[in-house]
Amino acid sequence: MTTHIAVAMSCEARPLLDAFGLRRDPAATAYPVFAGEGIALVVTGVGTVASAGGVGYLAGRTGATRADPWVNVGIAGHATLPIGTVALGHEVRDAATGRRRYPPRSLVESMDSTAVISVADVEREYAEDAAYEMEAAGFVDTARRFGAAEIVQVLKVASDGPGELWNELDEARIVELMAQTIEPLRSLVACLAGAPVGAPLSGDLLESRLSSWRFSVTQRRQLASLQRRWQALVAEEDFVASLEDALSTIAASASRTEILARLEAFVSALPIVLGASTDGPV
Amino acid sequence: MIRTVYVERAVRDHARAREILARLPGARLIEIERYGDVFNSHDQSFRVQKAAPALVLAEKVSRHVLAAPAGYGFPDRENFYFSHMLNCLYDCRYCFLQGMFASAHYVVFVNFADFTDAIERTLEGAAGPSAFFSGYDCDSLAFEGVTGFVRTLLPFFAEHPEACLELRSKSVAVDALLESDPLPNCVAAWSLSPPEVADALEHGAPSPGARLGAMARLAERGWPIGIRFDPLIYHQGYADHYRRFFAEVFERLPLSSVHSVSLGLFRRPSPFMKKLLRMYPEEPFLAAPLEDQDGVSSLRPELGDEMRAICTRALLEHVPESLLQPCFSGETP
Repeated sequence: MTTHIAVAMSCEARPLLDAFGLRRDPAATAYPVFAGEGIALVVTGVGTVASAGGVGYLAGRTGATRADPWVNVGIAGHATLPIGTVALGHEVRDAATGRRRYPPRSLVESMDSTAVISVADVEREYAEDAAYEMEAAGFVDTARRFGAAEIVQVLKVASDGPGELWNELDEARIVELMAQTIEPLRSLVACLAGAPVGAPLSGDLLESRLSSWRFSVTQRRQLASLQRRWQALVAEEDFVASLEDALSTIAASASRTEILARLEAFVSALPIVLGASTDGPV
Repeated sequence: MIRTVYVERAVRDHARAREILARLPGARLIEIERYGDVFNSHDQSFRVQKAAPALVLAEKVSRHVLAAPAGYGFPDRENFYFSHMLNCLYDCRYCFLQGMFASAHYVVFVNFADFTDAIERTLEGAAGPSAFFSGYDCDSLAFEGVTGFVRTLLPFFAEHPEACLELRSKSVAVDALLESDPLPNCVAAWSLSPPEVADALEHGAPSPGARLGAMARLAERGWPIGIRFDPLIYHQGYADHYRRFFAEVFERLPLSSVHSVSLGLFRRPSPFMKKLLRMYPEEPFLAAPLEDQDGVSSLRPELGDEMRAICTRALLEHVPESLLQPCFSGETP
């Protein structure tokens, strides 16, 4: 599992690279990409379009799955939050289109949050009680094509506001502000990691053991279904032995249809034992 | 505990929304335009949200009362259902709401009066006797402490004895019913499973024993009781488990209080079942041999027929056939 982080500017990335031990990926040429243990970071450039492009590029490089978290981190102007305050986005609005997204809070309910408005130009009015920035809308729309909504989040640090002007921000100040996001980001990454968001069924184990037969796409789906049922009914430590047991009865000359029928009969004969579980809310 | 509440701007100042919000003082409030913006987005994970669902307060603007799906309801009536709420407090692994909704958040429609108005209009237009089902998209009683919906509904049905109401629940929160005189046209119905099934699959729901206790209290007060052994879950030892459980149920409930009993195999529309399998690939009960027929996925016919026959025989040792409702062919929570 890899947590994907998108930032707009190099100076926003700098403290994160140090904190998470990320190194430049020399093969990534379209956008600067950095990688370390369980984390990949892309510097997208400013604006929703650049952000969307950077997210797509990073997903392509890492082969992102639905279970991989995504976080957009960056500075934002805010009407009311004190400078340096870090907050998640609970609403992300594209000012140009009015389109709203609501990053689910199920995994992050204890963290402070704010509305986030993505604008095309620097905000000087701070008209609403919200964070004003320029990437989150493009980020969320694109990242949710790869990851489940619950693990696509936006984390902003208040950098300017009515009392502190955006044009007084320099790189050193941005680095200083972004350093405030490191601990909240660590907590966030821990919250999002391993969330059971569901994954496509795989028949990889059965397929690899039966690789000398060439199964059709439909038959591979049947193998995936059989493997799922099998693994649900047999303890993890017993699965390989159970698999070998069943496969030992299959002749080398058996047809693919015969193999599927034999395995189906084997799995259907396994007892269905319901286990008590403590999972689930009260 | 609910820590996030989304509220539609249009109902922010609705009296019932204010009452509900007052009961959740620590929750973060997020204003939205329409509940669908939060609820309907298809990239969400029902399973993740189920661990910490938010509450969504909204207005139901149309389709307050709908015709019940074919095969669902009482055979001698025109059947309708309505949902003042979407989703349930409990986390039953077999629940069809997981397949139906993109989100596990609880949506409460606060404009209760529009539901009773719609029921009244439906009654006026109905050709014959009608039945109305609450608890198709939610548990009718479990969230009563927050919504107060049943307390609104009962006086309406007290004034309309020609209409039948079924409240479907797994809850033991029966105060709203105990505070009211029993209504002969209101069936309080419980979904029940043997403890072996309930312990494994009905997370967060009161135990079958606790449910039976609540049912017995209502029965004693004169409320008609519905019993829904639905879904029947195929597993090792099911025949013994269901046989023992049926005996316990009818030992604790006087037959005279029982309005109807139904029994139905676990079945889901095929797309719902696929979603369920993706969410809980590790669940043993979902590893039973299933088959798709006419868009519905259920136990392979030879096993299903056998299970239905065994359970029906066991049930008829305790109840007369006249109390058995035909098995609902549609999905049930």
